[in-house]
Amino acid sequence: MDGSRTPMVTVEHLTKHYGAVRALDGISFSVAEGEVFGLLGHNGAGKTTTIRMLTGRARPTSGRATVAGYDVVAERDKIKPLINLVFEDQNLYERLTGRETLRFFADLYGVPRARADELLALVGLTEAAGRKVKTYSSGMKQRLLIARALVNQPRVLFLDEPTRGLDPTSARELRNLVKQLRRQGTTVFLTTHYMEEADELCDRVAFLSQGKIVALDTPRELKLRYGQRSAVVLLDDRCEHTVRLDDPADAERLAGWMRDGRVLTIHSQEGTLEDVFIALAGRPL
Amino acid sequence: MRLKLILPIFRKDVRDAIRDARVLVAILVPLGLGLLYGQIFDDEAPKLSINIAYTAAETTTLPDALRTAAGPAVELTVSTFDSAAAVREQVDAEKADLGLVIPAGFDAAVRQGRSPELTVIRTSATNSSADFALSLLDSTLRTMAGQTPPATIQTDVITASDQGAGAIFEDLGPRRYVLLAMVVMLIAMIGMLVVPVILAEEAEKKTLDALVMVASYTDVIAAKALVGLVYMVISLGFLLSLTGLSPANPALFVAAVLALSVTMIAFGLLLGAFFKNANQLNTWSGFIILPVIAPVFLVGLGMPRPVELLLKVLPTSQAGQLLINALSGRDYFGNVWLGFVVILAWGLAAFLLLARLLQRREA
Repeated sequence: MDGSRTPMVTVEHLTKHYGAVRALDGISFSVAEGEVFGLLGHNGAGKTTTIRMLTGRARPTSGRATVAGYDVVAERDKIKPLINLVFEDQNLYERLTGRETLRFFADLYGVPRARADELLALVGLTEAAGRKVKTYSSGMKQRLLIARALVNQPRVLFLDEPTRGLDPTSARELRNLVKQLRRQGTTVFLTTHYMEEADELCDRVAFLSQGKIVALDTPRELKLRYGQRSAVVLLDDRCEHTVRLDDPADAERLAGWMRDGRVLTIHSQEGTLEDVFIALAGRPL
Repeated sequence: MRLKLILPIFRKDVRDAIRDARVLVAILVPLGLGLLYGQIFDDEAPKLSINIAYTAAETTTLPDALRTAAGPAVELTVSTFDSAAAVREQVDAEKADLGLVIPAGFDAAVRQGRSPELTVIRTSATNSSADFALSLLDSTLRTMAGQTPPATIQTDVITASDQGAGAIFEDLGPRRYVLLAMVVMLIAMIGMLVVPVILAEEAEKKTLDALVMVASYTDVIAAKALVGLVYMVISLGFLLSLTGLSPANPALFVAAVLALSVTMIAFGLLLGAFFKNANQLNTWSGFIILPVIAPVFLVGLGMPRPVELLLKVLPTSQAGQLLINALSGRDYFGNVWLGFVVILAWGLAAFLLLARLLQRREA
């Protein structure tokens, strides 16, 4: 976390047991104000459990967490107006229209109903506002979920697998929306299966495996730390050569090719977040 | 519980739930049955119908005396014919239950105690109307003769459980009796079907998760209870106004309806909290609702003692008894307070279970 910024989420030795199953095993991290934080992991790694506890919908077995400075157990009611969540499931009232949905939640949060139309415009659903939600496409429903989660202008927005099942265009629109929220200073807590998405959106990511955080840093640092330090060089004879950047002999070879003007392209092989995850968790997502 | 959260949920549900076919059917079925039965049945209980054909050689007061003796409970028709043959023809064709051939000077002879001959014509077939008419004739002639009856018959109104359904039917009429059952059915259907379907659907579609991001489970439950109550008030209003059912004791009627509504809603919320799926609830609803509604159809029918004892501890049968008292304005079943205690005790038990369930969920 950037030390100059106020922590919006703090998690200290958080543990959650469901009977004999240890869903979370003493995780600790913090999320700064305005940061986009990604929690990555397999199904059952404990991502949704973490969100459930941070949003006050489940009690930790032990440990402590705060959101916006309030304890998630003792001060749950104070947290509710300050946060919101885009659920993994498209849990919408299918018989209501898009506008009715947002007006209902505006009433619940005690904000003016005009906020509904602002949000419909923000997510590009103004034209479909009068249609029942059951007639919406999956992408439209996801945008409505985002709009619903923004009704109360949350200081911390939790996104639980927000692009799962979306077509590439809808997923890109959603990612653009998250970037817009980051620019506006909203703290975003994201769980996702998609490593590219985490790489593109997150300031920092944490890898969760079997209830434990196995790595936490910026995507770049993680890739540098766990990725390969190598490059693929394409020469004028159309042959590809892999050179290790930390090997003096390879460095000499590369320098020779460059001196002779034989290099057509060089591609660094810094690795992806997926490579990092495989290195840490032993299997891909 | 916060009203500012309960009211928006309530407003949403009142509009949204009625668009659900399951909810609509649960309300319309008892309402429709009520309207149908309201048209089919009469307010009056079926009366004993007796047709008497007679011929008299001169003017006689016997027909009028028979009408007086029959009273309002019997639908007595007395028709005069020109000859004994015509009277016989009426009886033979079963157009009359009894035929009388009254000779000249009959009335005067009876008054003077001269035992004039009166010919009675009836068929050999079993005919309860004819039997009743004969017994009526005997007492009427004694009165005409100025004889003092051997005993004065005093009718004593006793409670319905001892008296059977006859008295209730006679007093309420089958139409009001069936409509009363429909009132209980409507309350039970809304309380134990509509309310849990609304709640279970929230859990099934996971919209409940979105609600509890801002409200508490208790707020949500309170809103659903309010929705059930409002649906009941509106539906009952329709049923009462469309059928013209008006209780003789409106205060008792409203109190009984309210007590039963609260109890049925409590059970409905409990069911909604148990079932996580509205379709599952719909599948099991028939089994659940039948034992709840059935007792009201047994009230006052003179069941065997174990059944009568069971009816005394069930909320719907107690509500049925209170509603019969309220509709008729009579105290058929006595001990009104015990009825309320039984109904509300069930409601309290359901609410306590629900509170326990909510506590565990909140934890």
